Amino acid sequence: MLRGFVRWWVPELPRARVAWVRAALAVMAVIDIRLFLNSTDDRAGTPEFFAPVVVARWLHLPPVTDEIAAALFVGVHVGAAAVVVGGFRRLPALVQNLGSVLLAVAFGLWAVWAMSYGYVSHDHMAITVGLLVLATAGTARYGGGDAADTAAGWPLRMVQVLTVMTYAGSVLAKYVISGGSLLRWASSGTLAWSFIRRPNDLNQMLVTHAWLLRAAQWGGLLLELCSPLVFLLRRPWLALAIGAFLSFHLVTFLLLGIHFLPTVICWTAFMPLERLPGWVRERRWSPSGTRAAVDRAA
Amino acid sequence: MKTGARLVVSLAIVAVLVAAQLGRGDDWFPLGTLGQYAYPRDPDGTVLNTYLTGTTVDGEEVRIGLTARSAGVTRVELEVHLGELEQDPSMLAGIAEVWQGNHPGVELESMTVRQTVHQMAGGALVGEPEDRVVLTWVVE
Repeated sequence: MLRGFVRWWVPELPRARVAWVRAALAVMAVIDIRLFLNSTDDRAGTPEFFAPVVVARWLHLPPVTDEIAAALFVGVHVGAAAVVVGGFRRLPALVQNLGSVLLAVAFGLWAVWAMSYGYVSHDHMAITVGLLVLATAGTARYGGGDAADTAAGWPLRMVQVLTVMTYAGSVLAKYVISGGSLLRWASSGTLAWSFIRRPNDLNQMLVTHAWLLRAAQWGGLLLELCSPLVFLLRRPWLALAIGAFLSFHLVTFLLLGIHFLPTVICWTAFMPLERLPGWVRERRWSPSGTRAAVDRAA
Repeated sequence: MKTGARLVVSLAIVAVLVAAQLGRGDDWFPLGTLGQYAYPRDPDGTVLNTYLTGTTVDGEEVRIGLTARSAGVTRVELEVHLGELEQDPSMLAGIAEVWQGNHPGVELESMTVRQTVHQMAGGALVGEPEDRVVLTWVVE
């Protein structure tokens, strides 16, 4: 039993998947600091609004300055570039190993500062912690195939757990904040409240329909509650479940303008991306227009 | 890293995360309360939308967009600090400076924090919103 417990938390998973997931998170980190979580860059003029989160207080971080923000911005870009190109076999292992540490630290600090002005958004948990644990995996190449070990498996499992906990934990938060009653949350005016706070053409059509809003609250709550079940699923059901969560995010994006992309990208840890090079090789078209696989079969 | 150490880190992360939900660790980022939209809003309550306007030295009324890029703070951050702002409206000075820096040639004479108030009934929007002034501050 204990052995099964340990094997679940520290499983053997394909090392190549680390390279793919790390690259996906690296690209997301760059997009994030440029488009979404870009506020760290704009805070230098309003230090009086600095409300440091616990980690910022532990690290004695001052209100962010233009120089600090610029250094972190460069750090995330350099780290991400090193992680993405370092996944190719031709580059020395040092490139991706230094890159992943630089990326994890620079992005982590950027996010901590972004959350230290009074509002904390929870879609950044999995990517922020995920980049840190993925930096412990060591060298991983895109073309590494199915070779698996625990040093690669543990950080991938952690990204999976953090992704699922983003949903399951939010149900716990709703339960606690609602005074120990999920029924109270599901029958509340939260969705109408959020539509009124972030009005758009689509949500304004729905905001006066109480029964629809309540049904949507129940639906969202049940989906979040069921999130840990993904650990019991195998393909193709796992793919279907991931699709359900991605659809959920698409709907919340259309209705609320909330994309949750930093969490969405972490679902890659569940995907067999290590098979991608083989899959592409199988389907590569030869110059004569026939499939390479067909040529081989002939 | 040994398996035991990995296991300890895993369980510590999950324990902190669960504790944050139970004990309301709102600022335990990145392992804090997963509290976005977790508040059960009163289905028959009001919804406040805070916004900021300014009067320029030319007497023109302008909307001061509450984004970090435009004003140095976002709407929700301004709302979080609203209590302090009412005690000390001069906290708006930093916003004035950032906003004026982003809008060269426009000088603010005063700033007004305003709110629209929407009414909900049975968990849905009813009626037309009302507008109210929270505070006005003369730019020093």
